[in-house]
Amino acid sequence: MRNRLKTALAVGAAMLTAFGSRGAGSEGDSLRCQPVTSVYSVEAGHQSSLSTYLSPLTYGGPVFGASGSWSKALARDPQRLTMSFDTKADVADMLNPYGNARMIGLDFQFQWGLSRRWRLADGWQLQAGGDIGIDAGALYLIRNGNNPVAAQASVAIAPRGRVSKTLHIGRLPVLLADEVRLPSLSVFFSPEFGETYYEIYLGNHKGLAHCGWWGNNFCISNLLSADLDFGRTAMRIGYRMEVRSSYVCSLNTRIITHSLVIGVIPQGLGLKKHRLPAHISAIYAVY
Amino acid sequence: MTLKRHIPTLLAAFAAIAATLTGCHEAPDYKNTLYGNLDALWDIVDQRYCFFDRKGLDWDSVGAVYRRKLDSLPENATIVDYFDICSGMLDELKDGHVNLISSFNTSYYRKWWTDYPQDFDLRTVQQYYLDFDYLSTSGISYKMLPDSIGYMYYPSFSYPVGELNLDYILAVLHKAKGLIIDIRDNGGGELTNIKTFVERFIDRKITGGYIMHKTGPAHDAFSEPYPIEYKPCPDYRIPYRGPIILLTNRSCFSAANAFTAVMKSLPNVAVVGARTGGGGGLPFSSELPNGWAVRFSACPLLDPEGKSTEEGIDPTPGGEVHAPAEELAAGNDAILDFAIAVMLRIQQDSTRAGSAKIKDLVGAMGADRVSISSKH
Repeated sequence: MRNRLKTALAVGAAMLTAFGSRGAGSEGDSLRCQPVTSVYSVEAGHQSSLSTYLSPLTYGGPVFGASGSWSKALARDPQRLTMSFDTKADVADMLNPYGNARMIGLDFQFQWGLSRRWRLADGWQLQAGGDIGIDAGALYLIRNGNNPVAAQASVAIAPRGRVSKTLHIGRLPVLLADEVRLPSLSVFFSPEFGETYYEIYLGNHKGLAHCGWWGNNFCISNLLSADLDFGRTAMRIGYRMEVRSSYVCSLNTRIITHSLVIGVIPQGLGLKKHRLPAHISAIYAVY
Repeated sequence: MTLKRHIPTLLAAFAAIAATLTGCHEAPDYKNTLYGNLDALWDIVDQRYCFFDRKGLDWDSVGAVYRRKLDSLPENATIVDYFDICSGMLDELKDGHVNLISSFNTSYYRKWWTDYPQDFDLRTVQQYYLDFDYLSTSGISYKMLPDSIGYMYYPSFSYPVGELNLDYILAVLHKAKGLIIDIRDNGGGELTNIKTFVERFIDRKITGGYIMHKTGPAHDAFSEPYPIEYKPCPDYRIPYRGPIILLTNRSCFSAANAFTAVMKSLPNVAVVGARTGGGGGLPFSSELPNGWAVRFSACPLLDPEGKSTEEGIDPTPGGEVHAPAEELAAGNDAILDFAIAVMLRIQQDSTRAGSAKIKDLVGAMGADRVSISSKH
């Protein structure tokens, strides 16, 4: 157990070291660097949630969240390989269709991914890769007695794709992007059809973990964004659509979120090239 | 360049996958109409209620009957009339754990206790046995009665009982030569409180019962029984391992019923009074499109022998005693009197011929009591 912990810490430290450095290299007399593009966003929108463990009714209401995304080109092959961390937390306050019962939704996500990219002509870039992600959350239906909570937890491997294009609106550089993430193989938690959390608390952990694929645990996340690069900083405006669903043990769960995303990119995107001295070239992951 | 041409196609493919797979498993779609709500109610119970086999109820026929009642609902019928039809359908289950909850009424099947004698009057106990002079914490009233007989009354498992509260109670009562725990009229509450109590009365790990759950919508889809285990309390807590008599009546329900099942299985405990009211299914909640909530038994609780507790727990053989209302009004609680008599006999037997087993003693004294009353 101690060895496993040491190994995990070593891997984590190596990942952070690789990610956190600005990764400078040299090509002849010029210097090359791979800056981290950090995006911090707040999100607001609407969530609809169905969990037949709690109720046959679909609840709906506002959702608010915060997200962070960090990406950089890998030093090993910066023209082709990129790495990213993404994290998101949100809370939803929902009512049933009649409006007399409240459900609270909580969700936290974290993903670490690697992508191969193709830098195409006319400012187009295509990225395809995968990530491993953790998703944990709960739906809390306040009016229920012995079944007030439906907990959600999963670890998933997800292919992800991103297409982006740089363009100018007047003199303002803009990065348009659409990013899709599709968790495909997962291990996820679900109690059995009528199993109480009391029984789980007593120690009956049988049958709580399920192998997931698109057929029983379909999730997809799509982020359409426009990043406006002002130079020293950049701003993101975007729309995120997210579906998290599962069907297991005759229990149907379906959470659909539509959010407006407003973010800030503190160091800017680097589309205004004049910010760097001529002998330094920066290779960004996002374009 | 070739890839660039395929970008729209790739995006369309993702969208198509999303649209297809999210529709794979249809979500329930009940309409907020008279029939839509009745259908939702019928479906919820049909899929999740756990005692159809024990009730011998043809739920399809029940649904048909109540849909016909809806057909004949007059045009000037009120929402209360509609509520009565829906709650009438639930009453067919004859289950005290089943409720339909609206903003103007909560339906409740009461016959599980109204058709039986009450066998208890709190005022009688407080006035004639406790002299209105007792300690109280966590909802528990307790006192050392004459002849070193400890007494505690716990009216509801909804009162949270802290370990420290129980330490204080047992610190007062630990020298008792016998302990009477009165849970008459206890309608249930939190199952976790059972553990707090039981662990004070055992000296080794026990299986106090089993819990099951439904594994699917079919009426017979159940999991294997999972044991509910109890361990003795830690050394720094105050236990009570002397003889105990648990007093019950028909109004002991749900968690009180489960508590009785566990206690009855302990060697140092006898149950005296009347059969409990049952409620051997942990209830779940759900709701209808019109905002009404519904509660129903969902997870069967079994006794330590693996038998259902839905129909109630009988007293220890010989321990069935009733307390007629007229006697209670006159200040005599026959159930409590019998328990005190057993405890006094235990004290006599302990001094004469060693410790007597309480279950045997209740059996013997119960038999004597029956023969005396039959002679009268």
